[in-house]
Amino acid sequence: MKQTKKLTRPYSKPSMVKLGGPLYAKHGAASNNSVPVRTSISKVPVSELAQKFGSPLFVFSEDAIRNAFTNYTEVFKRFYPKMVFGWSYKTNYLKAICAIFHEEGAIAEVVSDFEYEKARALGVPGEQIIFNGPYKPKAALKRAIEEGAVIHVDSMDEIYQIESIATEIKLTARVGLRVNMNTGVYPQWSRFGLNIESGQAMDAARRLAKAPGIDFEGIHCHIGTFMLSVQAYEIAAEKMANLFLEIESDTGIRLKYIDMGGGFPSKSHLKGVYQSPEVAVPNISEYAIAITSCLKRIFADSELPTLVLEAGRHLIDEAGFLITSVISRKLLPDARRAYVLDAGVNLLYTSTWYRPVFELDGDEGSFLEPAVLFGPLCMNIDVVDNSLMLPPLRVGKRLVLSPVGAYNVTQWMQFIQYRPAVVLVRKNGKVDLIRHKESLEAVENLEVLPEDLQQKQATVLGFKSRNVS
Amino acid sequence: MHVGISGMNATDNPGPGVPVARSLRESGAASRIIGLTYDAHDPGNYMDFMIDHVHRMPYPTKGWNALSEALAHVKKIHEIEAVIPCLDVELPLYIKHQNQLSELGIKTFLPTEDQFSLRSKEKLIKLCADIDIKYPETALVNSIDELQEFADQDPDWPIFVKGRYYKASAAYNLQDAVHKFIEISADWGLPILLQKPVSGIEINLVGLGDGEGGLCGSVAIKKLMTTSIGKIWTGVTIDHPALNDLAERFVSHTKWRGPFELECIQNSEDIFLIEINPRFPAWVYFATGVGINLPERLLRLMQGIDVGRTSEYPVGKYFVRYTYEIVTDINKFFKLASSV
Amino acid sequence: MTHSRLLQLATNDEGFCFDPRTGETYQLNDTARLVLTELKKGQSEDAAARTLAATYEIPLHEAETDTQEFMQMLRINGVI
Repeated sequence: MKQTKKLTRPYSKPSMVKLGGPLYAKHGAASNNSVPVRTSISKVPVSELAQKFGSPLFVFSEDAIRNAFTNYTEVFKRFYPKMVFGWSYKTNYLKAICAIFHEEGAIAEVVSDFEYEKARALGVPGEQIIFNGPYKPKAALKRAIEEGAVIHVDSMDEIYQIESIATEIKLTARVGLRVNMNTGVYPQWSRFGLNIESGQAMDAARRLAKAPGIDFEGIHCHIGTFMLSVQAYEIAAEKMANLFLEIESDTGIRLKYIDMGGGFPSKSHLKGVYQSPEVAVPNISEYAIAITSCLKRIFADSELPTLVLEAGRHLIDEAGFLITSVISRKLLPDARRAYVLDAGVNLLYTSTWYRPVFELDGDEGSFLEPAVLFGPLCMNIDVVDNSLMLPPLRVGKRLVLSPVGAYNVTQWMQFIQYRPAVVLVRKNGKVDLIRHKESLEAVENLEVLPEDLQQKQATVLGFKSRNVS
Repeated sequence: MHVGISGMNATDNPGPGVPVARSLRESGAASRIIGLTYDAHDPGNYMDFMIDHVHRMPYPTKGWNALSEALAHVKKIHEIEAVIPCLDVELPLYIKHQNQLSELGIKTFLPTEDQFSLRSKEKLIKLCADIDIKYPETALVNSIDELQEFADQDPDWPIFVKGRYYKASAAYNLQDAVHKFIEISADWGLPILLQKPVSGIEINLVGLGDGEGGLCGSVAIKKLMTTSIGKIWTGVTIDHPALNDLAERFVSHTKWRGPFELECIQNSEDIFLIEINPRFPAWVYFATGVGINLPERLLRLMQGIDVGRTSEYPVGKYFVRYTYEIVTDINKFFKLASSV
Repeated sequence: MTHSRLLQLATNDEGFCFDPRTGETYQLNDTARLVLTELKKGQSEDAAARTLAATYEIPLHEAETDTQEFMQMLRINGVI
């Protein structure tokens, strides 16, 4: 009788957890909930994905991407008639991902010559590219001018450089001015563009207005990243609108657009924010109302400028998942359970600031023990999470981390491990590989081994295998 | 009525749950009281003479899904009809989802999101102007540069360095203020408020708004002794017409819905509003003890029953908080620690 | 080897375990409870592992590894 009762629960490794330990502390990271289970991503079983494409594996959902974009653009269009949406390449510049956003109607927002080339190679016409960033090499500027891209200048020096290139090649450069300002948030992003309050932005605008070879089209700001303050956008929109009008009255040039950048948060859990994202993260319509109502108020008596936005994270983060597997287990000297995963900080750059949701690909019961998750790097800092409550897991058990769609597949690093494959679950349920797992050949492709160093072998005595004669 | 109440932490930094439960128990307004606890150690969990059953809840940081599942479970077992959330940290979640709670068949009586945001100090400054009450001279600063500018003009130390929602600490010089600025902004974000201390007598008021601008009772007190961490130890009821007026104006202007506490300072001429707490204070039983049972009135409001609005209570009643011990079986602790 | 300290541990049906000497409290899952019960009966680690394997129909080597790991937990927690 007793035996059958026990067997109604699946096998779980023997475990004992001390009560009143640090994880039981008030407001701790621990919960008395069972760990959420995710058996599929966009209806494709996690096990099938991992078996077919290996682990670790980044998985993106086409449906989620398109839905996010549609929802976001519809919200803004509801409040403002003249919208242009840019897709922030740096957030995730995999070709397939960018192609989806372009198909949905986004132009490309790039921040380097590399990203510029990527957008062009993908077939984006130059005039549908916004070229941002603090470093644009001369050749890239020249190409951007030739191809009619809008260049957002970051410094006075860049203005002079564009003037000279444009004069040299006898073309007109389309230029916008990147500005920064105090919007009441800390830290204030003052390193990009020219400052409004100190008058630098206006000085630059005067220069742009009369500069030879420059068509001054708009002003641009980007007040920060993962901005939880709606009010900051309202302040920024007001300062941008006033700058727009000041430029008109001072130089006689009426610009075409105001670019408010991006920085809209996703439903990710920023570390140090106690409340869950659904409470802490404002709805996108709150941002839309803050920005557009301010512009409509200030431009009540004149034509509305075009409003350009350059969101990234908000559109892609929740569409991305990382499947990872338990490689080995150990017990730490403080009795906490530790697991080594096949994905670590090499693939989860954002885990420094954000805490992903950890889901298991099957129910492992509700007996939870404090656990630490290590990555596969031989570096002490490779800790994916150091205070998670998990059921005892077996080797090979899979975890699904989300949201991880933003920045991870651009900021990941190739350190001692191959970077994994990336797949896209299509609308029709088909799974397309959109980036191969790296190979030795791919990684070493750019290396050159000088001839005289080829085929050298160590000749250390006494460090030989017994089996090799 | 079966009621769920949180804030079972009747410790030396007490939550309001146990006094709220006691108020409902003594009035007979609740036929069953379910303690919604976050920690198996919370003393309220063991007060079976006050709390009929106790349930462990997921921490608010886990979000709405976890909370709604847990509440649905408690509802199924104990048929709770109402919940009185008592802790600051869980209020954002409950307030945001009060409509869904009502769909689950769980009544609440909470402020709206707009009302709740009034406790942020920036909004409090405006509210004070609107309802014609003094607010201590305050500057909002967003950077250490601005703090420096403030210090350059007004070296009248000490000043209070305050977070938007929580935390305040006195700074005695610029260096001290910078240190506190960094510490508080790291926890609670910006802006930071720099406030001139107002000298005077601290007085407090607990009240209940009906959501339509009416005040359903209030009691004003003076804390006589506080513990080393600033919690009331002994206190006395007072009759302060200006404070009562303030409570009326506050409720009618904001149409405040639910319980609140006003923390004020009275100097020789004026009263200053220092803080609004959007919930019952832990000393709410003091009001019950002098005949103004606000938790009971809250339950009646939820049921749509017209409640008494009297705020007539004897002045000069004395409040003493004391400690008490329970000896029980460790199995009670085990059961709670293992419950999901 | 029997661990006389183990005999002192008080456990209940919900998997709670109380060490009367130190006052520490622990929570055990079903399998840990089973192994502990076997050990308290005076069974060897190997025998406890065999019972675990038979009860849950898992490979013996897995039960042995897991039992050994549980012994480490008991040791780290100062129970044996």
